[in-house]
Amino acid sequence: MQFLFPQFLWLLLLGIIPVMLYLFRRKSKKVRVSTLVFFKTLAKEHQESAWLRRLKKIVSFVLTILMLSFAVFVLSRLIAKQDDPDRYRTIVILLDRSASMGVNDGEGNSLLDVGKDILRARLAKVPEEVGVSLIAYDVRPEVLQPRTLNRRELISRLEGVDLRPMADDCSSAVEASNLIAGLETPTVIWHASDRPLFSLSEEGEDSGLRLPERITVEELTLAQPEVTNAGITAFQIRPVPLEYSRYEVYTQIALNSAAGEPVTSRLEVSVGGVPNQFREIDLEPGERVGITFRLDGVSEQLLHLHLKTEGDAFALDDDVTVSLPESRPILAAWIREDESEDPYTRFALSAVQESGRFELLMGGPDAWPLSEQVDAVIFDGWLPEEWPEDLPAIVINPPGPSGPVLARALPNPIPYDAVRVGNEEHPVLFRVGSSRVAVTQTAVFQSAGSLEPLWLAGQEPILAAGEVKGRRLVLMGFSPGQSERLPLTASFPLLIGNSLLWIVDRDMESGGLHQHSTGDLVKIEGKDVSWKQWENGELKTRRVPFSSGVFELDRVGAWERDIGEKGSSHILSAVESNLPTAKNGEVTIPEYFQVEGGASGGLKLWLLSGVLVILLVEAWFFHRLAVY
Amino acid sequence: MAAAKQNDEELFDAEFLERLKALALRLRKRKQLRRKGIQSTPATGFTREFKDFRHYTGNEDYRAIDWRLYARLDRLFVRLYEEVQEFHVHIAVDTSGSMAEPFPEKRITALKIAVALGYMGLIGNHRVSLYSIGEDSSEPTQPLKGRGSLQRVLDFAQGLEFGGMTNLERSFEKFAPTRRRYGIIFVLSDLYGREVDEAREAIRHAARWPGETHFIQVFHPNEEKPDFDGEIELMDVETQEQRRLWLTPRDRQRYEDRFHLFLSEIEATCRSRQIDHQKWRTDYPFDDLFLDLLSRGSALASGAS
Repeated sequence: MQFLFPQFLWLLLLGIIPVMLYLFRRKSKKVRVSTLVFFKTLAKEHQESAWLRRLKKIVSFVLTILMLSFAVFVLSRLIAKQDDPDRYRTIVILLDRSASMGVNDGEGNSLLDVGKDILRARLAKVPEEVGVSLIAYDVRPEVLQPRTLNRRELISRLEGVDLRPMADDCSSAVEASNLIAGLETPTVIWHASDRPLFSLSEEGEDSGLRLPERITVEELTLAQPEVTNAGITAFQIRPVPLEYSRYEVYTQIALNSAAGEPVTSRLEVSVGGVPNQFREIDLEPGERVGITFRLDGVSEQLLHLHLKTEGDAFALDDDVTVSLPESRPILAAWIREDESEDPYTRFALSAVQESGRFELLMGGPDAWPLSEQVDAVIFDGWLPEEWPEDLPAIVINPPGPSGPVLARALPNPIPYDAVRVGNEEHPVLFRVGSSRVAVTQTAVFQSAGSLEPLWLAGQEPILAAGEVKGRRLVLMGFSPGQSERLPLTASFPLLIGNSLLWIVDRDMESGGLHQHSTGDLVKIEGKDVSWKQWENGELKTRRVPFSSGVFELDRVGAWERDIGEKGSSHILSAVESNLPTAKNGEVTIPEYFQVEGGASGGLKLWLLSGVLVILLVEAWFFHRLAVY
Repeated sequence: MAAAKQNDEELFDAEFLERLKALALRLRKRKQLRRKGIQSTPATGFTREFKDFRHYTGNEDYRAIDWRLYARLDRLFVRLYEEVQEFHVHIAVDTSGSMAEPFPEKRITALKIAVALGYMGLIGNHRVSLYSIGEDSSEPTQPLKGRGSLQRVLDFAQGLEFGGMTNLERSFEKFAPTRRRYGIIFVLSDLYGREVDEAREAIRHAARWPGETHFIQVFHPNEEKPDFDGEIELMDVETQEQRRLWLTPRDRQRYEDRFHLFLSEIEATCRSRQIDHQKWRTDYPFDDLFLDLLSRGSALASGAS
């Protein structure tokens, strides 16, 4: 015998009350009367003999104590305990609530609902002394219920588990479940998901998850025997460089490996609600196809990608909704000590500026530090003593060292008829005719670390690009004005333009659009977020308030903060979209808690029955057998 | 049970007894009694006291004709003389425990009635016999006569010991004065028997008693209407029997109904046997009840001798 909630046993002190009542019970008033004959004629049930009266008092007292004790035992959850050391003492329910659990089972129920039904049925068979924990997981685990013996509370928590449109990550969930499971072993983990916890990856690699001793896993595989799903597993959009109101989109479409046959999917693209283009893709089971296309649109128009596939079982990965990113021009500052000596750089910058993608601020060293916020800075023949670590920069003809620029000016510039190209594929050299370039080296610099030499004159790098402390840097060790052919060719404006495009921040590249996966935590400010998402073929907008500075992206669609910041979140998970199948979906009730002989489990029903019997006996005694 | 005795002061109310001198006991029916007393009756007798004249009828004894009057009036008249009787007054007092406890007022009342009745018997020059009844009927006292015997009546009342059980059946059966002692019989009792119907059964013996019987049923108001309820443990003062009850107001009402039924049954039984029955609640004024007793029909005399 064991009490699950022994803290309630103090209620037994209430037994003092009937004891005191019994000991100090009110004595009946003694009255002497002339004759009893008239009292004897009153109803017989109002009379009783002395022995019966005494017996009833004692029985009443005993029954009251018994009833009180039984009631307290019920509250304290008296159980008959089995002392088998291998008997599980803890169950950890690991419930997958990721997006793939929303697949319909064919009868109108999601896999999550099916899983909850199964867990409820199994929990009904679990002895009361076995503690149960509930962990729901998607991209991260959440301990919804620590180890508890309170089944009602647990069932309530289980009922409250909702589907979340996120990919799952079972590794952290296993870590959390191991932590809880190890508190009181032996433990069994009930893993309710559409895919097993310790499955091999597609490449045949072990997942690497391990379980401590005395902890076992029982898989409650909820996957359907047959399921087909084609989904969008990757998406990226950016403004096309040097092209106004034109965007380049990359997306990846995949069909799950367990699909029974090849399918043809149709990708429909609409901008601002107007159909823009569509593609039909033939997909083999397990195949992923990447598609790149361009589209025209203006900032803040809504781009919607919708994938249609016959027999598709999973809709959450069929839509991508984003606002077209903003294509504002790059604002750069050009710092030069004396412009009149070298007009070519200005010409090049003016040429780039005409494309509408750049805006330029010009000034001398006295304008430094800058009073305006810029996206990049160009140091031409001058370097500040204190390097601006928060700005990407282009350094032309450095006069000396400063910050990451470890350079020294040559007293006698050295002309070179040609340069060697270090990395021709680098974006800085996009469409630049490096083979026809003749330059005059005016400075030497060290291109160690992350700086990659792009042009080499002799053995020395004269053009290098790289990233220093998170900011990009392009370093040019030559003077355009002193170079022979370079300023007059188209390569120099291209070089300047490419360098500017490359060094600016990634946010600038994406036009300020924040693309996230669902489940990501983002730091945002404001009071609410407006979500635009497709539901049943309709675009719906919902306003979601939030209070803390960290916001979990728990919806699929495009969002916009009240202060104008935009973003989108989608599942975009090849693993989540790759819906598995299971041959045998039948889940049985565990038999390891069954006891062949003797009492086991809670005695609540017995105790309550005892209370009922006592009440009946007491009622019979005091009403059937006469009461005084 | 401890015997209860009463002192003279409580029993002897001189003022009240003085008022009783104007009253006298008499028989309801004319009865030819052997003894002649000092008290006149409505009937004519053979005393020397002239009462009236009446026309002579042929069936009468001619010796009764008043010849002198015939000589004067030339008509035949007979002389009528007063009849004075002497009869017995039997006073039986219930001395069972229920008459003394828990309400001693019943005992005092019964004794005061007995003394008053005895006094009236004595001043009427009747012979007064006193009895006590309980489990049995006691032998009567020597018949008392004359006013001088009042002290003996008081002594008797003072000497009565209350206690013990009631056996109405046996007491009334044994209580049988001889025919020579014909008279008026007063029974002072609460008439509580061991069973509810015991009194009614016992009253039938009274029909054989030589005299006109009057049952004076003495009871306390709390016996008619109990002043307690709830959980009580009752004890019969005679049998010492105990009984536990939970007396509800409804039970109290049922008790009162049963008690009133008991009284009415006794009254009906007495009436059917031409026995007078007087209910005597101890809280009612003694004088009023006593005069009521005397003035009930023609049971008792209402005029002085």
